[in-house]
Amino acid sequence: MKKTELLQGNEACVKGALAADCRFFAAYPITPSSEIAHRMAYELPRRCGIFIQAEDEIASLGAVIGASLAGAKSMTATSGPGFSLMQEHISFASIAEVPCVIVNVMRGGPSTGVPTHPSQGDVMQARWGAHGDHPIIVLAPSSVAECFSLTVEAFNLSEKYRTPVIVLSDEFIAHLREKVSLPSSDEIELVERPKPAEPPEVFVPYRDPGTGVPPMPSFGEGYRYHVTGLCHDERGYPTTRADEVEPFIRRLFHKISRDLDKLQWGETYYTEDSTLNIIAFGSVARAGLTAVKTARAKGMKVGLLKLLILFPFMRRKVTQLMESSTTILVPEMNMGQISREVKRVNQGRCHVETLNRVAHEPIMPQEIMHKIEEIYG
Amino acid sequence: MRYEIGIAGSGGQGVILMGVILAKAIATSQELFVAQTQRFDPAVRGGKAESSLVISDEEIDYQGILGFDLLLALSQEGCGRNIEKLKKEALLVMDSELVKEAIWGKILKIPFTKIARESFNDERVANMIALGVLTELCEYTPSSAVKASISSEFKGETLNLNLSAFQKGIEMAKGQKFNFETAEEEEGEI
Amino acid sequence: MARKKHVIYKYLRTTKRFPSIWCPGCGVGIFLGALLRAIDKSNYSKDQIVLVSGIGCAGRLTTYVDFNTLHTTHGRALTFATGIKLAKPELKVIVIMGDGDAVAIGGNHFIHAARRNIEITSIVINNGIYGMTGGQLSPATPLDVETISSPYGNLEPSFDICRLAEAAGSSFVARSTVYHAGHMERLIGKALQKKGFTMVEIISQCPVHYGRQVGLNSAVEMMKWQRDNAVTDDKAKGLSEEELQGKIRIGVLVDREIPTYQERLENLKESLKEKAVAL
Repeated sequence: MKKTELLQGNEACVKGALAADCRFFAAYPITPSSEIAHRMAYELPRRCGIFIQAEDEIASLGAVIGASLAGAKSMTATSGPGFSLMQEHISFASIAEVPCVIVNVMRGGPSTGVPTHPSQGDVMQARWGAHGDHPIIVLAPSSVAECFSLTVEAFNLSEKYRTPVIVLSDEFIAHLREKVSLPSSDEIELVERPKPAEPPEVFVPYRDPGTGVPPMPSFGEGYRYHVTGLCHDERGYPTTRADEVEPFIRRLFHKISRDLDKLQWGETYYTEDSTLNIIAFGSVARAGLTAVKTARAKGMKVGLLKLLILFPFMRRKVTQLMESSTTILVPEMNMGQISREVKRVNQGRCHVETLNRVAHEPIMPQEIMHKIEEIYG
Repeated sequence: MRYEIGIAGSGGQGVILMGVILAKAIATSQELFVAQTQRFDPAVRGGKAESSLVISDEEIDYQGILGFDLLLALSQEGCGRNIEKLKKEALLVMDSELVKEAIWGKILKIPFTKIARESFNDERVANMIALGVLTELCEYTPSSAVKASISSEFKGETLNLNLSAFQKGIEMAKGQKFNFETAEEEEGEI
Repeated sequence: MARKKHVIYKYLRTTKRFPSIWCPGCGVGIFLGALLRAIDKSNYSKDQIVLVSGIGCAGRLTTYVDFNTLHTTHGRALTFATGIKLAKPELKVIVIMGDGDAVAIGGNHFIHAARRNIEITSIVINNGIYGMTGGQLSPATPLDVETISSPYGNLEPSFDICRLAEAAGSSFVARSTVYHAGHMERLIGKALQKKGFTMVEIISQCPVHYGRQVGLNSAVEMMKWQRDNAVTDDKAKGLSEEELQGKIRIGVLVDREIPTYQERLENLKESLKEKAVAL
């Protein structure tokens, strides 16, 4: 029988990171993510890993990228204001293709906002906050158990695609304690970054092996290659040539988009015969599920799609749901960020309704139920 | 079954710790699920501090509060903020020294802070006395599990002190037959 | 007769053809020669060395040399270097920065790396100007100097980068100029051998953006200025306060034994060993 325990969302992120063999963690204190740093500061030195409290969030992610280049699976954690400071290095990790995991526990914004209350206001910052056109993977847990499993998956995806992966948690989930039974280490599948098969003399560091993801040696393994934030050719050296830059940036996108079918991570509830469907993520998805069950009890044909991956946006699954829906309802704790994505892929298939909240208080199931009744007429 | 407990007070009273202790105790049960959340102000001492628990015999969808079955109020503001979240038949337990006004049907008034001061010479253990009362009043929190949970939070002398305060609470809840005040009487008082 | 191949060729990347991006007369190339000679005399292998740079003219240096090289973001080279060193302590981490890079945008990282006394050899190539972006003032530009962003003269006093590193906790601080090429090489060599955070400031020249602003019209004139204004410790002893005004003190300025971050970390690991859990 599995061991059950009471865990906080932030603690579960730490357990997930350790289960994924995270060896390096750097962060700057910020509510409501600090528990992740506290736990890492305790755990990592005992496991011969490294914890460092950086001078700011820019340094946190810089150190994380450096450690990853040296071969250590690395992570940082922050909240909105710190996440803004990290954008510079998210951009760097994208172009230099350095695996790293960033946990952003969203709190009320903009600016210092309401530090101790939840929000989902950083969805678009996670997608587009970093400068330049770049691909990104964003995961969104809605429970303590998912804080664990999605942190493990964040490491796996980041290693597999050599790209920064963001775990977009929120204060409600981060500080929530739940009874969970986590899988044991032999039940967890880990992915490691691809390594070069050829010797250093003939190794071309950024040549596409066909998967879009070039093998990645660590510093000190004899490969002596160049890593830069400048657009670079296959050898890693700066280039401004259009015939090199264009295919390079396109490869960065393509290495993830070619697997779009595999990245439709969402859970559907009661969607077999539903015509009104809720699309939600994070803590709001749970209020959504309660509302759906209440509506079902009243005989209404309502379903739910919970998004576990926000970006790349799971257009396949969403459009599939739209085909059988008359209305899609998108409740979220912001002025409408994921609903923009829903509307973008909708293309007139169905009617899209939103339910937004920016008072940094959770959206209650009753409110969603109220909206359902309104739509139902 | 879905049963919700709220604890509302101010920073420094151990409100969040009480919630965690109860949640831990419930988590040891085979049959029950538990979700514990909290609300607090940035100020570590003073300011809002609230902790709530959802207990269920099935997986918990909505992790927040739909309506309290049991509310412990340890400050006037905390009581005021949460009284509207009580279910119809819910029980309000309050520290009668700290909460002066409350309009509700089923109220249990106990001067936790005063008892802590007089019996233990330490106001800080008011929360453990209250925890004992909650444990006894709630059917999903076996006192042995809560005791084990307390033991995982404290050490040495502090643990002994907290355990005796907790025991005091259990006995107080056991030894009394509560006469719940009616809303009319309460209104009359105010 | 075959010309003897200079030692630096061992360290230049053959896959990346020169010319470099540096303008004629730039001091960075002279510095690069000194750095490679100093490395050649040290015991470090090419595989062991990680050369990290920031953004700016000096930042491009990492492109050309055959080590593990990392060209980072503006001002943040030390943060990446910190991660590398902590994750893989057996690597020798050397960080090359410019003056704007190190003490303007990277000032916070600079003082904190020094405070931690983390095992990184850092070098600040100080030409007193932002060269790559077109000649704006930097925190190392002297007062009153006219630049493209201080057309009426610089209103801001400049940093003494060596004193900054010293005050922040660096275990070794030294200064040289590109004119004093041999001296520069020896100081870099010493810094490479020293434990903890070491900082060598190299006074360099930007004839394109700085020289002409102060009436020094060529790289040669600027290097002559370095020659005439640099003062070694021995020389300084014979000079009064007034005579030392405006001069550049060169040589080892700080060399002290203070515990390094790595030493403290090793102690911690040792003390936790008994409690260590198998992963």
